[in-house]
Amino acid sequence: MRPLSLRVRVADLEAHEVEARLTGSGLALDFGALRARVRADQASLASAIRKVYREYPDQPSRGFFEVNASVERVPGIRRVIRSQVKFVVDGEAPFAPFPADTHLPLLEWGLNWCIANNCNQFLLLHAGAVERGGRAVLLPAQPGSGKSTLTAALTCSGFRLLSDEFGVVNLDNGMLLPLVRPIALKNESIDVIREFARGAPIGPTFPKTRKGTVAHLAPDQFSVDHRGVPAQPRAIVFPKYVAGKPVSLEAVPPARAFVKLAGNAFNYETLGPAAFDAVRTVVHGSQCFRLRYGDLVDAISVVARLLGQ
Amino acid sequence: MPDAHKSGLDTAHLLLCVLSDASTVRALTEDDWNVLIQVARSARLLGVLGARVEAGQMMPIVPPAVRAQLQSEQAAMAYRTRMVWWELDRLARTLGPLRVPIVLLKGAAYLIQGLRCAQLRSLSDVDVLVPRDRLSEVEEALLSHGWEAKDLEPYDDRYYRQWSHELPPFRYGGGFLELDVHHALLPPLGRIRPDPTTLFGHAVAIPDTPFRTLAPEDQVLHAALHLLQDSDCTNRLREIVDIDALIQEFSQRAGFWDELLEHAAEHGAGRPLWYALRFARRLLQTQVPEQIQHRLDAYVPRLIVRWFMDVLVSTAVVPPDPDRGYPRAARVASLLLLWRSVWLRFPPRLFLVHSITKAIPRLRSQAARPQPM
Repeated sequence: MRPLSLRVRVADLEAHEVEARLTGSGLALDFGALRARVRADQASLASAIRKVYREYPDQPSRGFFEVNASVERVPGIRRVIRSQVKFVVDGEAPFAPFPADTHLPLLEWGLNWCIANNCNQFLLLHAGAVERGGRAVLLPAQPGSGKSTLTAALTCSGFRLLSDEFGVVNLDNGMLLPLVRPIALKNESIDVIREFARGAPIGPTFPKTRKGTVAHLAPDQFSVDHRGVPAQPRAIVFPKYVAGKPVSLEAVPPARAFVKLAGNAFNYETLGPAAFDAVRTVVHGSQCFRLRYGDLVDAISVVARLLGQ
Repeated sequence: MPDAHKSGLDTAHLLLCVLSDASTVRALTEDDWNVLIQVARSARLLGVLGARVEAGQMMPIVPPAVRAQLQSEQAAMAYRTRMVWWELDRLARTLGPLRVPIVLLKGAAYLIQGLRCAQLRSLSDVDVLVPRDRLSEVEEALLSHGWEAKDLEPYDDRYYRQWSHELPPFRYGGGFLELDVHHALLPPLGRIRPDPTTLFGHAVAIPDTPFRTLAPEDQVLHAALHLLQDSDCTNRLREIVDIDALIQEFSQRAGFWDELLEHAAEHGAGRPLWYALRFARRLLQTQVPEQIQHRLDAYVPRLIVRWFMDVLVSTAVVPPDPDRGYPRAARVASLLLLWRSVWLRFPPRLFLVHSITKAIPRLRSQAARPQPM
């Protein structure tokens, strides 16, 4: 038995220990801005969680969690024939079940849903966010942006991961709060990141999800360890991936950036005036650009230059 | 403080304790809060919980992360309330010129009256009552002013128009609120049929609006009828909280209790009222004056029926246990109470037909739940 004084990460736990937590009172996952307590009843999901959450501290599953969720096998005939799993939160299953072999994507998307619906104490942007040298850049999601691939590549290039899915803005001061989670890579992006960063800790591949093939990049130790450290947004970069295109950076007027960012938020309408103020604070303090790129390396050096200023 | 982790009833008990007396939160650990927030959320009482903790001046002692969740719900409920006000404004502009009597029901009514129970109450639809003979006029006006009829299967659409007391739901283009237009409080072939004309007769106008609300006594009756005659009582603590809050608010008014009993007698709603007050007393310690209870006991059901209802309702009405979900007993109770509610809304020969026909769509709609992305 390890002495309790040594900080233990999920990666340090044996597989059966992770399973025991997941089938018992839950595995505590501290994302930074909020915590989740996750339970699961399938050994293969335990193994996948152990891979993609490897750097997270093994915290006791006691206390208050913003999200309490589980992925459970659907009982009855669905345990045997075309077995399914369901996502359960607050005692009920809000979605249709998934095939049992896509359990980790279900967990990740389910957690996203819980956060987007229930965490209106923050402004939640649909954006990636990374930080370096005390300055953060927001990468708002748009179709075809390649936001997740770019965020993943940035975190493999010395940038601290704040978030891939949710840009969490503190409503009082406009700071970005880390919400460190595995980065969901889809289809070609998986190989792109494997190529870009050899040995990057990518979890199992799930071929038949509704969004195609999905795999998750485990957040690095540094990002996880600094999940409690907010960052000042200094740049907003609207990315657009266009194959073969040379990199180009174009300034976006603040008013336009405001509208794009507000439209991009999950809960702008819900928060009303508070959201208006938060978006205005973020835009005011940031340089805003549209970035077109066909090569990750070029895009990353542009971002690095922006944050170095 | 009850051990809140044992069963569904215990977790509900924790919620009910706090709702009745906000100072109970002094004794809560963070583990307790974790359970409480989940239970409240699944019972759609998280906003109300926050409102009561705030009203009891207990917010400062709530742990910061929990307080943030309560504030999150406050923001979400404030948004919904804003949207309901907007919908009411649209309705006033659209239906006002028709000079049709419009009675607001339930949440929208509580809101427009500024009742305490409307605070941070979860709203997902707007319910109105209009005279049956003006129904098509109202429907036409709504459809030509931006509301859309919900896309329903032909059976369901026919079901609404033939057997139900309300039109198929409307939704203002792009909105999330449903508008339910009723012509009666309960299904037209049901055992209890409160007379809409009498209800309109007692309705109270809201100044500077084309809207009315039911008389206070009728609002309490409606809440009781809705719970006991028109639902399967599953995870319906919220309705009992409403009933308790309405009584607390209205019982201050002179003559309320006498009027309540009179209206109940007039509409044949004595038995559901008896049940509603029974559960409200048991779960929330709602105060009913002794002499009123005595008169109400004229509607007491047979012992065996009373016992069944006690067991079934108390089992079904609680929210699911956060970690274990609905226990089997609760699922069975819900099913029995669902049959009961269908039995009550149809004459016997139609009951069988409808039960079978609806069982299949119910199973289909289970499979059609949304996706998480």
